[in-house]
Amino acid sequence: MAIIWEAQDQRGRTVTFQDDAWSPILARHSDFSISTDDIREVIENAAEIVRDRTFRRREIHYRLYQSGPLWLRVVVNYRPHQAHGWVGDVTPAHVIRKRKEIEELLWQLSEHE
Amino acid sequence: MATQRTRVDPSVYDNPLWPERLPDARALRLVYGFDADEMVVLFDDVLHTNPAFVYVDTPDYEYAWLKVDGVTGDVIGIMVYPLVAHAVEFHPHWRAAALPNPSPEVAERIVRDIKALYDRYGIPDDLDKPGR
Repeated sequence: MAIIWEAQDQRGRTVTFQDDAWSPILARHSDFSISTDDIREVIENAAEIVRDRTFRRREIHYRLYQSGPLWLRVVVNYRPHQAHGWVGDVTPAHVIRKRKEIEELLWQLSEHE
Repeated sequence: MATQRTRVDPSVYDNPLWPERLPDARALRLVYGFDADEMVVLFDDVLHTNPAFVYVDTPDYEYAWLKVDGVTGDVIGIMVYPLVAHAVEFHPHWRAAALPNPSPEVAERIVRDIKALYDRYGIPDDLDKPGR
C-alpha cells in the first residue's frame, strides 16, 4: 500500500492518497480525465467542505474542476491519529455537474481568499 | 486514465438523454467499491468525453446519479453512493450488487430502478430547461 501523496486540507488536517484508493477509482471511472494532482488540488484548495450525511467521519471536499462548470467532489474518511489528531484518506472522487445545496457546510472559502 | 479535455458546455448535462432501450444485462458492467461503498454500472466500454455525474433529485438525499457524456448528453451509466449504508434502505434488492460476482440481472434491475427514480424525481431544476 503505497502513498501517492500526502497533503493538508483547508481545515489543517493531513490527508493521504494511497494507491489502493486510486486503483478502485480508476476501475470505476476510467474515462474521467482527472489526475492524482487534480484530487490533491481539491484537498489543498477546496472551495467548500461539507459533511457526508451517512458516514459521520467522512467529509466531502468540492472545488471547480479546471475552472468549471463541472465540480470535482472528493470524499475523505477521517480517523483518529495519535500524533496528528485526525488524518484523512481519500475514498471516492467524482466529477459532477452540481451538488445538493442542503448538505451541511463545514468550511467555505471566503471571497477574499 | 486521461481522455482528451475539450471545452465543456454545461447545458449538455442538464438534459440527460436515456437510451431508447435500456442496455441488455450482459452489456452492463457493475463495479462496487467496498471501502467507498460506491457502485457504478457502465453501459459500455467506450471512453466518453468529459463525462460527469448528475444526481437524481430524490427527496432529502441524493444517492442515485446518472453518468452523462459531456458531448452528446447521453446517459452512459449510473452510480449509487452510498449503496449499503443508505440506498439499500429504499431498495433492499440492491444489496446484491455488493456481493461477489452479482448476476447481470442485478445491474439491469438497478438501472431500471434508477430510470424510474429519474422519471419520478428528475434532476435539479430540469423543469426550468427545455425538454428533449
